[in-house]
Amino acid sequence: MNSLRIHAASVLALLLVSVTTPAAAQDDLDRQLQIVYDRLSGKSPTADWDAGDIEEAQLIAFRSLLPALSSEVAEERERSRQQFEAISLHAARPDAEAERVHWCQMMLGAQNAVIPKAARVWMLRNLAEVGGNESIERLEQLLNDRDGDVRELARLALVRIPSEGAVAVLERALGRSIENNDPEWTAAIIAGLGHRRALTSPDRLGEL
Amino acid sequence: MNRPRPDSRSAADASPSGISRRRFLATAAAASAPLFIPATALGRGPLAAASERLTIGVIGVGNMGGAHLNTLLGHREVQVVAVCDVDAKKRESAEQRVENRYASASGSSSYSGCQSVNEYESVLAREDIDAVLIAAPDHWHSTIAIAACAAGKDVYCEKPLSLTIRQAEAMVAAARRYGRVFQTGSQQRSYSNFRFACEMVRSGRIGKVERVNVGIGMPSTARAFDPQPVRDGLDWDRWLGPAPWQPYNAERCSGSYSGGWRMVRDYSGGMTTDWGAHHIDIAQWGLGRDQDGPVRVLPPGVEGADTLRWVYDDGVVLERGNANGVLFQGTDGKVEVNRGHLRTWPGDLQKTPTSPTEVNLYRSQGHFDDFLQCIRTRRRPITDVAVGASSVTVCHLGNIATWVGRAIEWDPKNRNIVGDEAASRWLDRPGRAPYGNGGAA
Repeated sequence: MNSLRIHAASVLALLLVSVTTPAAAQDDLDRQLQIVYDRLSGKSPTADWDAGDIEEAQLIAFRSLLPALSSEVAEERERSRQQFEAISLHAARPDAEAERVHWCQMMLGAQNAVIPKAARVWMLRNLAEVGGNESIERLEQLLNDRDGDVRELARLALVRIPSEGAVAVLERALGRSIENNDPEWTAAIIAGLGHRRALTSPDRLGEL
Repeated sequence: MNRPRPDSRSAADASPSGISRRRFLATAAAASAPLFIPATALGRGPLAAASERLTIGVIGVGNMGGAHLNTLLGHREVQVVAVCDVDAKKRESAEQRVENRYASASGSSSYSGCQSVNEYESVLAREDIDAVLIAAPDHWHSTIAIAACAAGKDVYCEKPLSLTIRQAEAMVAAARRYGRVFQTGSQQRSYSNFRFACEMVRSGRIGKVERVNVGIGMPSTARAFDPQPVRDGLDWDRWLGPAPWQPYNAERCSGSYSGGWRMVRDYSGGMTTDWGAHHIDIAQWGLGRDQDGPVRVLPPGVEGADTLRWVYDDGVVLERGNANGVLFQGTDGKVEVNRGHLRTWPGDLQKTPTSPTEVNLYRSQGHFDDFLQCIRTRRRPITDVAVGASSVTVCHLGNIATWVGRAIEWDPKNRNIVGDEAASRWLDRPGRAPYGNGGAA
């Protein structure tokens, strides 16, 4: 284990006990977390990190930022969302595919009923910005989520992710929507396919 | 010395189609007399006959739209026949102002010729309206403007032109497809001191331009607000329109010039686009770069950039900050211009007016007057939609580089970000159902 691993492990340990951490220790934790955030968002270099270090640091950042994404305090919510997004966008830089995929996989894994909706919504918006093929299957499932906002954000994410797989999902969703006689959702899916200039089912439109 | 760049506009730029409403006015003026106030009421000087008067609908009557409305109500060639806003209080107040003004001007006790509506589609559906003035928040500009062009209306659209680069391109395409006159509200091009500054720069009076500084503010960000009850009379869902759904908060939709929706990324590009649509627009004009743009953008903190920077293919650097307005720096001197002053180094650069052998740029007699004149002549106005699109593209690129936190390469010919898929996603944003995508597809 190199020095970074030791550093990351100590941050993780502090995180696990942070509920009962005294103020001074909390400040120390915050400082150490900021170092992790700065590295993951490109504000300071990560040249001395290997792939394992980065995954570990991403896990720490994800766990530490997740609660505040749905904080009842607007300033906390805003700060954590901006930090979270900075990490997303840096992970999606050219030639860092493994980093982006790992970050997205954590967001996808948190798309469940245990996670507060405000956090889910922010992660869906991040998936729209940086998600790729790894996100398609889960986003297709979310098109049927009980929550209408989640469904709409999953649709928008699929519209924005530039993969053919996303188009195929939207086309399948169009077919289901037509069968279910849901004109509003059908119009939304068609608009999404139109945005992608990818509507490949003119015959289906003719049936409408 | 810089080789002067010829002004790109020419008679060949003139739009092809004519004005359709004349038919309506010529035949209906008498029948609709209560709707049309006497020409004497609309201003001093030679009077505009009803058949020569342009009818306008104002879409968005908040801070900017309200200010435009005041201008329109004092204009002898214009009659405001509709106001639209998703806030009932604002639109009813605007309607009252129009009717009071026209009643007072005509010496009547009342006037009732101004329609007040919540949905912009109602304005566009009227065949008797020649043009629309769009002053809704930025995230609505492209949807409304493109629909207006398709409905055969000429368009004056507030700056910044669009929320995204692809929306701006779609607006240009719509204006051309439907042959509409389209003025972008970057009115500094109609001010003589900005024009003279750009003429001096393009004529080579400061030598080869090396750097341009623009006094603009910061990009918008992802803000968070506490939910509040929607205030009475506001159609909140329609205010959001194509933007992602969010609960109402008064600050979120405030029209404050330094905060409010202007600093929320879902609705605006922040001060980079709000002031960039003025000062970067002038920088582009002075550099003669309306047809292309920078090739590289560096956010603060990247590759030694201490502030946001755009780099052009000839090495010229455009930079945020260190200017009170726009500061052009050349090998032989400097020109700084804003709405209050024009300064040159050396000081005597500005003593001599631009000569016929130097670069002479489009002389607008006033930004709105230029729009009206172009409606009649079918020529392209001084800040034609393509100019607005070019300038706002530079602004958006600055924001994209800042948001992704790295340098981006821009191919101005093919209008694509090179080699950065995640940054490229910010070229456009799909819209919330059922409000569409802002017309970008």
